[in-house]
Amino acid sequence: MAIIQIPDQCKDPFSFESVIGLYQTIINQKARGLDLSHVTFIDPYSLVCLLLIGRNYLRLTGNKLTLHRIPTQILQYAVRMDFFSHNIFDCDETLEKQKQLKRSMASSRLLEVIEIPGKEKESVKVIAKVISMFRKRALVILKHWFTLTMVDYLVTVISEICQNIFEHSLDSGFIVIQSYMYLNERIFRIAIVDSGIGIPGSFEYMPEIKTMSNARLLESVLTTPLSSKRRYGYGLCQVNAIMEQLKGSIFLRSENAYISVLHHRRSAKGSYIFLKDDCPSFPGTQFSITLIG
Amino acid sequence: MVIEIKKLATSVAITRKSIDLFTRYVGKLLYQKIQEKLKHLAEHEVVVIDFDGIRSVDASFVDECIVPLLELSQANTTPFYIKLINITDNVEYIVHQVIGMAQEQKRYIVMTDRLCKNGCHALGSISEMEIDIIEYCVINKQATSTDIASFLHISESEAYDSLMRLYEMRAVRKIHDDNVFHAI
Repeated sequence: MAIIQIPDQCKDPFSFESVIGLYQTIINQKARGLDLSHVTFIDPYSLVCLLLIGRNYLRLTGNKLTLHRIPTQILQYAVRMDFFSHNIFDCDETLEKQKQLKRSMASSRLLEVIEIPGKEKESVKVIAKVISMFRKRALVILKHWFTLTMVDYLVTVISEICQNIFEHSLDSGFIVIQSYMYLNERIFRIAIVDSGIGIPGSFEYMPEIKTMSNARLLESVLTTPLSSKRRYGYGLCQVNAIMEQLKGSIFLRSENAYISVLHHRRSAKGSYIFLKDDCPSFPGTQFSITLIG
Repeated sequence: MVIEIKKLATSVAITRKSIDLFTRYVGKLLYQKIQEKLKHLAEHEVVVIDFDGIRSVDASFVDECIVPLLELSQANTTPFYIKLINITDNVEYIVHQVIGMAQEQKRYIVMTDRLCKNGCHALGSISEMEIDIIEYCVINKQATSTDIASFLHISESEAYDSLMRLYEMRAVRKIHDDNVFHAI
């Protein structure tokens, strides 16, 4: 039983692909823990995806992974984000109370990691709570972008993606929201992730979809009214249309593929879209919604 | 009949203090509550849905609450008309996107109290000519096929067909068997 070294690749959804590449090794080798000593920065998307890795490991093996040699600033951040409250990881270090980051309103440029249940009624209650908290903190979280209309649109985005967890994934998931500075850029990020059946899985019984590559399927769900269950499947299509209006970007990953749509970088032909198949396999659907200012 | 949707939402635990209406669950609940109110509806009545106090909705809510209402209004048993008032930009955008995307040759149009971004007082899948007809009716309160024919330089039968199509989608009112169509 090994301890797997996590590389310093937790800065954004693209770099986190290297960590997802270790997922099968972690599971197959029944790793004892993860060594985080090389990690210098962890973004909200990487944080909740790491949580999924831990949860999948717990479900498959019945054991918790232990985080080893976690740098103080990463531990402070993880504690502040309620990462350990979900009882998924053990940690070989504890953070003294005086070293914990404060939870004042002024420092609330974030919404801590919240679990979105897999059942409709409970999930709707939690989504209502998330939206209410986001509205209360929006002035601080979206300090550099804030307009009431923008908050309204982001509420719609949060609601649409969170609903997909209980409607399609057959699992529960996590949401986290934060704005932060990274390499002199202001970044606002919403990460919503689950480890359910994934988008290809929810379209399994539609033969016309089966012929598409997974990356093309992800593109289709973002650009056409396509639903595996309803007459009209506008949810993710709406999310994409709203992010186009807000000039943000979307990173959507499911199973072994991802799509990245950059509405803030447009050519004459429209927004830049990157598709990738043959990525390391990772169960479920992971979303990152980003505004860069 | 005026339905204050915010007031209706306060009777649902999840949305009691919310200024947002979201999820299929909430959409279904509010649709049921609106349906109860429609029991006492008179023929050709305008049902005004007042969104005052609501900032945003999502597609699932619109799909479960507004779309079935429009479907119901188009049924021939008791024709009635829907008008959305006091909607925010977000509500306008989402309603327009959702009902404009309706497939299977079923089209929906919903009237509003404001000039929307599509240059019309209605939302949904509307052709340029239909926008002109709706706006003519809104400005003049009513129109006959002769009025529309001379306004758009089309034949009277074409104007009548267009007005009838709009009536079937409950975008204009037709109360009697005459040739007069009224604004909603």
